[in-house]
Amino acid sequence: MPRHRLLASRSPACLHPRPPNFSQARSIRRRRQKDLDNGYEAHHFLVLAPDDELATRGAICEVQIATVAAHLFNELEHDISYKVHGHAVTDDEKRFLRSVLGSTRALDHMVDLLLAERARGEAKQTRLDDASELRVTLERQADRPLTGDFARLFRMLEAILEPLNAAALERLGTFRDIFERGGKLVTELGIDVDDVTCYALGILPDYVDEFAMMAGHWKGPISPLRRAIEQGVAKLRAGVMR
Amino acid sequence: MNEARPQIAVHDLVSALERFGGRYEAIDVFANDIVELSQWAATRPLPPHIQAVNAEGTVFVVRHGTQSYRLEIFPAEGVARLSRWLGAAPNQVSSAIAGGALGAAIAAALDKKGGDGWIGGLLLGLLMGAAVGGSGNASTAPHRVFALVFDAAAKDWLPYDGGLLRWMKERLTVQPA
Repeated sequence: MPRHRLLASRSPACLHPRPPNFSQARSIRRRRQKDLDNGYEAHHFLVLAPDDELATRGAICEVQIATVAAHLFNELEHDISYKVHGHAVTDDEKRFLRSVLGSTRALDHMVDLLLAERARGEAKQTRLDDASELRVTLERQADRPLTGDFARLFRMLEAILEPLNAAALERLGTFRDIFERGGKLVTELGIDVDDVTCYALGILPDYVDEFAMMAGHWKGPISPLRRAIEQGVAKLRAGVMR
Repeated sequence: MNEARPQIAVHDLVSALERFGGRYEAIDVFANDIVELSQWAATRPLPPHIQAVNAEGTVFVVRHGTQSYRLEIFPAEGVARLSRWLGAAPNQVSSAIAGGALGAAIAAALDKKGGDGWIGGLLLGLLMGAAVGGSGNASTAPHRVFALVFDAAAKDWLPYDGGLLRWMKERLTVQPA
């Protein structure tokens, strides 16, 4: 259940001067209460009170949980329709009540969207721990599987970005823009490369000196990625010289 | 503890910072890796090109040719940071300088390294640049950095993308006050 759905609650069955510690309570039954006729909506829990309070030990309480918006409607509906205070409900009052119901559900929906967006934003701030997480992040941006040496790309990006996370990658540019820039350089160099190399060439113009220094110190046989970076660096530096 | 001999001179920090023009604003290293600071901590005088600016002994002005640099030590983090001195460097410097901050910084650096030998004598440096993309909250936005390792034999900085990359970034990053 989203956090905002826990904002309004009441536990009418438990009347005690000191409220029990419900964080220690055990939920023994949960059901969603939705009345299609009057619009009432809440989650009802039957909970077993914790053992640390003698007065409530063994008590079973019903806790009703609704969003703030739903709680507003539930209270209005309860006072106006359910108990029929004062006078009989008029058609206009019913119409306005339905409008309130629509508005509170729209508000709930907007809050859901807002919190989902917040969750996405927070996820982008999480550090990428390894090459596989980098791969998942880039494939999500590309919306397709990608090929290449992600272990090497991870170390390259880890060396130039702090922190290395999805937000940092987005700040380098959209995957599409970076890939197009890399593809253009690939065409100019007349080489055939995998996706990782194309991506690395796409951000190369912003990191010419760093990538040149890095690639020049990689040990082992010259990989296609290293060859492409060295060719790209030479091309970009020649362009600057002209 | 058999402490490794510090091998990075302050002018080595200058050369790393200036290697990429104005692209990076500062370089961070572990405080105990700097030769001059370690010698000063061992009660030897500071060389003439390094002068303390405050009595706490946390900020120094470094003269290198016609340029002035700011060398700041962060006692809690064990980090020393060299950056360009913006504006006119001060001429008046403190005469009585406390060494406690430097001692604390060296102790913190050794603690972060987990004792001598934990990082195999690697002399690590992290160039610190501006926020990537140039906008957003400067303190939380991802920053341009470049990880380096100092080759003491060649007296040169090399790129570092080894297994301690994440470790060094986390320990050499000083949060702004």
